[in-house]
Amino acid sequence: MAGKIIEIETHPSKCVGCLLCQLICSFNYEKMFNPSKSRILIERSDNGFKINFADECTLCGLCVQFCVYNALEAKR
Amino acid sequence: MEIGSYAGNILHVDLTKNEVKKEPITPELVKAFIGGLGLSVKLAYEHIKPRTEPLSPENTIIIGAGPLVGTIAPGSSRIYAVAKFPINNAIAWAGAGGMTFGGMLKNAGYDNVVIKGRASKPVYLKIFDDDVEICDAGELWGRGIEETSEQLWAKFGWPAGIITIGQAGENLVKFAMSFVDNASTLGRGGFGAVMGSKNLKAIIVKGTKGVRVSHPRKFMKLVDGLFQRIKRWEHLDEWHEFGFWLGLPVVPKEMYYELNKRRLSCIGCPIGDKDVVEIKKGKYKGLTKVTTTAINAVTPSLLGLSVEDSIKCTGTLDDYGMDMFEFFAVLNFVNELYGHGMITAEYMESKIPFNLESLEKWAGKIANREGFGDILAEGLPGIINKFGRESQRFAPPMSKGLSVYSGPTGPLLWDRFGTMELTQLVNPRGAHVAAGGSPTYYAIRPLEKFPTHLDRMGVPESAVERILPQPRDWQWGLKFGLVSREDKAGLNVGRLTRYSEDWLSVLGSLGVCARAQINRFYYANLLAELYSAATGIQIGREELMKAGERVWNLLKAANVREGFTRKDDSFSERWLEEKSQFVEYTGKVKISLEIADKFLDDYYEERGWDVERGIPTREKLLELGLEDAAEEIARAGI
Repeated sequence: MAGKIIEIETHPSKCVGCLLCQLICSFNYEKMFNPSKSRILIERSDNGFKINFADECTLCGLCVQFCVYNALEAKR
Repeated sequence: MEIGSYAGNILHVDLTKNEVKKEPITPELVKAFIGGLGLSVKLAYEHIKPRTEPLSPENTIIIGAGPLVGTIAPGSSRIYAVAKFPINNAIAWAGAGGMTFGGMLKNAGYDNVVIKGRASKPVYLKIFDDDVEICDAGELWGRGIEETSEQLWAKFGWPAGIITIGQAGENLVKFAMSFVDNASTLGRGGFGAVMGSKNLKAIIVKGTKGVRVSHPRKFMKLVDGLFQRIKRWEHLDEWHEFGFWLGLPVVPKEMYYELNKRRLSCIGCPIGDKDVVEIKKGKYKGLTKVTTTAINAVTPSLLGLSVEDSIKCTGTLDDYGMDMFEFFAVLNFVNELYGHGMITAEYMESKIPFNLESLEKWAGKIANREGFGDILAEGLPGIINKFGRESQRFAPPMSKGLSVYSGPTGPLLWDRFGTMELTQLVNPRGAHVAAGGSPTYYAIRPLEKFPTHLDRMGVPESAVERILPQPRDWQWGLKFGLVSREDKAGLNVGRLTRYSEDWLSVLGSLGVCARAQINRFYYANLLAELYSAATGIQIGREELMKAGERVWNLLKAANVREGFTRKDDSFSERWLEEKSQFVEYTGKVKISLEIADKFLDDYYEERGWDVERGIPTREKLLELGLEDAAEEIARAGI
């Protein structure tokens, strides 16, 4: 899809905690699969998961591409 | 030498000496046994001496996460554990969806953990990168799976991975399991009791080191291809919506909708089939439960419980950390013995009623070994031992001390005799279906579809005509009516089972989930390419499949060393004949003991084993490079 991403909208109720987003993010920026080095942050909450982003997030959208559960949506 | 995607270390923990040390893995070791299941089997063969008592400090727990675990290869989170199991004295494997555990273990810098000895008091093992500590678990001892997991997460935070036992494991119940992240199960043959015998309440692991692959570009090209196929899969949305209900719709769709609260996934899994269910009405309104699948949670409803009571019941069993199938098998057995006057009022005042109150009471008595529960906690073999050999004819169908749980009389009702049925008998660990996870379970797939599937599983072309024999080439099949002269081919389940096991062995050693919804996207060539790109060790399809075969043969050799032979793979007459419902895969004839024995013959022959004794031949072990096992078996005069 064309156009620069201006925001990644999150749908935490759809998040299953698979961490595919963290895996691809850390791989892209740190050249290793390492959830602790990811710029998208998944946290366990009482009722599922919370989704946050570190300041370093560049809105590259890779996490959106790899989220097969539609918990992330790119706004362009 | 650094090998891509491996963490590079085996962590050794001696709970008696309170010592931990690291051992580097070697290229030779991983080339031969890959990792995960395979490397765990190899380490078990070395560390568990023959005739070790399963609940003694000498028994050793090996946990492994394969080379693809922690990467983004879809569905690669699987962890395996190997130990000597107390239910049957088998050197047995247990596998679980690793949730975060496997990925965190790799990130912490370890491919395998080897735990031996016995702590002098309850402990948990904390593995945070290089900080490995044996910690006091006094506060956790006596608590259930959920509470233990939640307390550890509260202290150390998610995504730490947790393997823990409940009261059943602490009290050495011989069908106690361990749970991974309060969701996945590990080891129905008493793996939980092995942890309990070591005073090991839990293992918690978290890592920050990352997993690197050797050829990132090539690796991601293969992974991208996999994700494209997964995203195009016509059933993906349905799986996300219904989970395991799609495969086993045991409750109406509307009810599933009502129960399902949300879904959970292991790391890196695009399917995510763990369910969180919530009871929406009645006495237990608001009770939520994490379950390996919603279908498991409602299984007791097949025994007459309401769905709400089923969920409450499985929640209780899970929290104690004991296997549901074995729990019900044990209760059914003693009820039958009572009905035949073989258990007196000294032990039971009446048959155990299958209602929630009674089931929860007995779950507690077993988990805490109270009264008659102490005998039930010994499992089916212990009950037979207590009430004498004549009680055995009333025992549920079983294999190596565990009840077979798929088949015409099992909780997983199924009348066809396929690989998932045969493997429950030949599997060295005892009754368990996963190693036979060929396509036979959910649908009776037409035989025309098999060649593609066999190729995907890495079956050599030369074996295909033996698995799908033409009538003229299958004399005993013709004789017993499994195939007719008009058929293009039949299906020899005995021969197929060998390759089904090898496929599980490869998937398990790499760390890929064996569940059909994930493994359907993988094929042997692709796995060899992924492994090569991830590790930098170039390997082809044949070599990879050979490694799978090597692992399974070493597992068998470890059990031959313990005295297991063909007699232990024998069929329960009751399983085959009860209700007379078991039919051959294509539905042509009922399975008789004679036919079943023919399948066994062919299974051993396809494995290249001694058919009469059901054990690997010296030639086969040498062909696979397992010289030590060949020598040891020869020396023992087996």
